[in-house]
Amino acid sequence: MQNLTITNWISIRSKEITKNGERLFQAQEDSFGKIMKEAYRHFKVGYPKFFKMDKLSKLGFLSAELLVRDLELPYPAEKMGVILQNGHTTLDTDTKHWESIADKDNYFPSPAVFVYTLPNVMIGEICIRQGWQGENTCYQLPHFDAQQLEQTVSVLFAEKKVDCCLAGWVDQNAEEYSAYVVLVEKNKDISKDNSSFISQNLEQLFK
Amino acid sequence: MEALEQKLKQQIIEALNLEDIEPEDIESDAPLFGDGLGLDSIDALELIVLLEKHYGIKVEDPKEGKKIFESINTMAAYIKEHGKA
Amino acid sequence: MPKPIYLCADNILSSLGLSTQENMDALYNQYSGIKCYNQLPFSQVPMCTSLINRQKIQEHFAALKTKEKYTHLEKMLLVSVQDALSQTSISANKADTLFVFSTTKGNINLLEESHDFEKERIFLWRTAEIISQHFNNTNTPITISNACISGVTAINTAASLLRAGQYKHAVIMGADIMSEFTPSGFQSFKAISSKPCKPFDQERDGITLGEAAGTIILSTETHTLANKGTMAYLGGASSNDANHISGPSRTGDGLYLAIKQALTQSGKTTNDIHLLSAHGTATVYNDEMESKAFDWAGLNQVPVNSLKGYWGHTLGAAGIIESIATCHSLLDNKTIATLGYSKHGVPKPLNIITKTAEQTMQCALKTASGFGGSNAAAVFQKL
Repeated sequence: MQNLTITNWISIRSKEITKNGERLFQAQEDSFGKIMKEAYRHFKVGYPKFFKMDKLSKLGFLSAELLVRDLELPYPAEKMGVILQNGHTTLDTDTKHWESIADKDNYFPSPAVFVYTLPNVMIGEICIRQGWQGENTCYQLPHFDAQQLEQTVSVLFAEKKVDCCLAGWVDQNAEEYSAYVVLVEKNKDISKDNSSFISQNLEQLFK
Repeated sequence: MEALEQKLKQQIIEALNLEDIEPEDIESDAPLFGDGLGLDSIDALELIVLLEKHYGIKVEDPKEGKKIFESINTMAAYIKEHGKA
Repeated sequence: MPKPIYLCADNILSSLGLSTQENMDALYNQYSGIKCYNQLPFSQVPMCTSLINRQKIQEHFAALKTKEKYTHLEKMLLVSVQDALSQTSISANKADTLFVFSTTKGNINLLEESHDFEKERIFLWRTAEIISQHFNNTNTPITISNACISGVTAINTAASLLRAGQYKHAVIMGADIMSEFTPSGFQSFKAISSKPCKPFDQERDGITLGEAAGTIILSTETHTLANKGTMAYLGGASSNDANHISGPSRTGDGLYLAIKQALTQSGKTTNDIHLLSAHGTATVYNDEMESKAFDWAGLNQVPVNSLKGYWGHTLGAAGIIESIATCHSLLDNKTIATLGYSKHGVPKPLNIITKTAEQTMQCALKTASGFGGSNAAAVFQKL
C-alpha cells in the first residue's frame, strides 16, 4: 500500500475560493470572466499571459496557482505530475472558433482562440507557469470521479513516474464552473490537515 | 500621434488581450516582439489575422511577418502601402 | 524486464482500408491514402487530406445490425472495435475489461450541423459511453483528450491499470474525423501544407490532416497477435515541455524526458531500440525538435520513420494506428518507408527509413508530441 497523502486542496465554485478548508475569496462580480479577473487581481498573480487564456485555462491556471503558492515542493520538475478531469471539454471556446468560421463572408479563424480548443492546454499553462515537466493527462468524464482519479494517479506513483501530483477536476461551460484540485505527495504524515489520497476522502472534501 | 498608429495600437491591445496596457504605453518605434511587448508566435499569427480582417491585406508567409511586425511604425507603413480598407 | 502486457488484437480503419492487414499492405507498397482536392465541403481552400470511404463504413456498420442511430465517428469506432474483438476470445462485456478512448475533438461536427442527437452527444466521455455500452461493458470508460499524444497516452494509461491489477483486459480505441473545425484552426496557424506532408525533409512546410480510427486490445494474459507472434507493451511515459502551448520546445527537452522515462519503465536502453516511430508531422518546428530529442537520447543510428505520409496526421487516432503499424513492422521484420522524405532537413543526423526492406527487429519506441507542450513515448517488444 502506498502512503499517498492529500497535503493541500482547493475548490473554486459559486464565486468562492476555498483552500484547505479556509475560504480565501468571495467574488463581488457575477459573471465568470469577471470573477476570474477579480480573483487574479485580488491575489496579485502578476502574470499577464493570464488574459490570453480562455475561460477553462484561466480556471485551471488559477486553481493550481493558488494551491501551490508559498509551498515548498522539493521535487525535480520531471517528477511533478498534473492529472485533471474535465467534462464540458472546451465547448465555450469551440463555439467561439466555430463562430469565427461559420459565416464564409466573414471568415477569420483565430489561432489564439483555436489553440484553446483542446482541454489539455490548461495543463500546459499550469506546467509553463510552474516549470513542471512530468506526467500530464486530461481525462474526460460527465462529473468529478474520485475513484477514477484515485486509480489513474495512484498508478503513476506506484510506477515511480511522479513524486508529487496536482490532481483533480476543472470544468467550465458558460457560467457554470467548478474546480476541485488536490496536491498529492507521498510519505507525508497524516495529520489533522492531511488525509490519505483515497476516493472517499476526495468525495468528502468536495461534496 | 498619427491616426493609423493610434488605431493600430488599440486594435492590437484588443486582438492580443493586452490587459492593463493603454495605447499611450506602446511606443510607435519600439520592438513589438522580443523585449518589447513580449509577443510570441501565436501573437504574430494573430497580427496576420488582424491585417486581413481590418485592412484586407493577406500575408501568406508567416516569415514575412517578422519584418512587417517589427514595430507599430513598420506595420503602419506596410498598411499604407498594401491596404485596401 | 517489467511484466509484459500483451497485444491480442488490433484494427486500423483509414483511407487505406478497414483492417490492419489492408493498411499494412498499403504501407509496405508505399501507397499513400492522402489525396489533394481543389474543393472540399469542409475547407475554404484546396487541401490535401486522407479520408475514409464513408460508404464502406456504412456497409460494415450495417452488418452490425444495430437499430440505434450513430454519428460518423461512432460508426467508425464501432466497426473498428468490432473487427478487433472478432480476432480474440476476450469478452468486451466483462467487469475485468476496460474501455479506453482517445480523441481530440470527437463528434465536433455536431457543432457545425443541425442534428437530432442529445446535447451531451458532443462530449467526449459520452462517445466512450456509447461505444462501451454497445458492447455491453458496464465499467466507466476512460476517455483521454490530450491533443496529439492522446493515443500513446491511452495505451500507457491502459497498460498501467492492467499492471496494477485493476483490470485484466483493455479495449483501447482512438478516432478523429475531418470536419470544418480542425482544418480551419490549423490553417489559421498556417500549419497545413498545400502538398502531401514531407516529414523531416528540407522542403517540409506543414501537416496533412487525416481521419482514422484504431483499436488495440491489451491483456495481462499471454496472447499472440494476428497469428504472427507475441507482441508486448513494456512501458511508457508522458512529459511536458513547460515552454509554450503551441510551439514545441526548441531544445527537445520535454520529449527527451518522455523517452528517457519510457526506456526506464521498460527496463531498456537506447541500444535495445531497433525501430523508432516518430511523430514527424512535417512542420518546420516539430521535426526539428524531434531530431534534437532523438539526438539527445542517442537514437541517431536507430532506423526511424514517420507514418504521417500515409495517413496524414490523424490526431486522436494517430498514436493508436501508428503503434499498431510499428508492432506489425516488428512482427513482419519489415521496415516501413517515410513517405515524403527525400532530403534531410533537420539539424541532427537521423537514420531515416526510406525503403521497404527485410530487417530483423525486436524492440520499438513510439513517440508523440502535441499542443499544450505534451509529449509521450511507449516501448513495444516482440517476445
